[in-house]
Amino acid sequence: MKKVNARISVMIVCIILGFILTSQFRNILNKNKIYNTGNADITVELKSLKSQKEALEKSVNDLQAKISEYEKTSADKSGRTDQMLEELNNTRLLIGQTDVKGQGVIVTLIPKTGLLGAPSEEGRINDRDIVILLNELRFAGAEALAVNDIRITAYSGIRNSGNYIMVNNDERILPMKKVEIKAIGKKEDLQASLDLFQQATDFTGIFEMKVEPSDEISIKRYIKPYSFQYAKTVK
Amino acid sequence: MYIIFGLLAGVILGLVLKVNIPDQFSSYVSVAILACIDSVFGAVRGNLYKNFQADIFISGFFGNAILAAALAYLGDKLGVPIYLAAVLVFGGRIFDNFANIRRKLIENYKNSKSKDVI
Repeated sequence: MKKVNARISVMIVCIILGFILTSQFRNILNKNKIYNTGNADITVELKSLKSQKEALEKSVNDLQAKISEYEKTSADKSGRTDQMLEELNNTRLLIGQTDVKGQGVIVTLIPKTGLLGAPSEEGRINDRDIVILLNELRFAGAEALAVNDIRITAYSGIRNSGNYIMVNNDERILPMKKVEIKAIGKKEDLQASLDLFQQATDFTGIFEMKVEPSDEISIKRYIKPYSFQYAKTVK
Repeated sequence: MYIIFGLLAGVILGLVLKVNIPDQFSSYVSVAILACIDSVFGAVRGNLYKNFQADIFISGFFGNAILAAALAYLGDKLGVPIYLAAVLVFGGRIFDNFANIRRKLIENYKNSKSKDVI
C-alpha cells in the first residue's frame, strides 16, 4: 500500500513538473516569435522611411534649384539686385545652407573594442568628446564642419541620448562605431591645433583618433530650413 | 517508468491546456523548474537506495520550488542575483544525484551479471 501511494505521489509531481516545463517552453518560444516578427516589421518600415526621406530630399533640392533660378533671373534685371543676390548667397554659405568643398582635415575616431571584438562600455564615444573636438576645430578656424556627414551649423546641439548621440535634434550617431569629423579650413592650422590637443588630452584609452589632411573635402549643406520663433530683430 | 509516464502526461496536459505564464514570472518559474527537477532526481535516487519517503519528497518538491522562486523574486527586488545561489545549489545537487544514480545502476547491473555467471 505504501509503495503504491509513493508511486502515485511521484507520478502526480511529475505531471506537475511536465506541465510547468511545457508551459514555460511555449511561453519562451512565443516570446521569441513575437520578437522576430517585430524585427522584420521594423526593417520594412525603416526601408520605406528611408526611401521616403530620399524622395523628400530630392524634392527639396529641386525646389531650391528653382529658387536660385528665380533669384538669378530677377537679379539679371538690375545691378542692385545682383548685389543683393551675392549677399544672400554669402549669408547662405555662412549659415551652412550650401554644399561646400575645400581643403581641410578628416578626423576619424575609432572606438576601442573589448574582448572578442565586442565594443566595450569604456570604448563608447561620448557627446563631450565630439563637442570638444568640434570646438577645437572651430577655434583653429574651421569654416565648415560635419560629423558623419551631418552638417554642424551655428544652431547645432550635440548630446548623448540613450544609445545614440543626437545631432541637430533628430540625426543620430552610433557611438560604438567609428565617427568621422570633416572640417574645412586651413589644413595646417587645423592639424597643428589637433596635434597639440592630442598631446594635452588623453583619449587613447577610449578610442583611437586619426587626423588626415586633405585638399579636397566636400561637405553637404544643412537641409532643413531655419526659422526663429522667439528671437526678433531689434529695430 | 511511472516518472516517465507522469512527465509525458504533464507535457500533454501542458500542450492541451495552453496556460500562459505571464512574462514577468518566467524567470522565477525557470528557477522553480530547476528545483523540481532536483527533487525528481532525489526521488529516483531515494528509490534506488530504498530510503524513499513520499511525504519528504512532496514537501521538498513544493517547498524547494516555492523557496527558489521566492528567493529569485527577492533578489530581483533587492538588486542582488540570489537566483544564482538557487541555480548553483540545485544544479550541483542534480549532478550529485545523477552521479549517485549512475553508480548504483551500474553496480546493480554488475551484481546481476556476476550472479548469472555463478
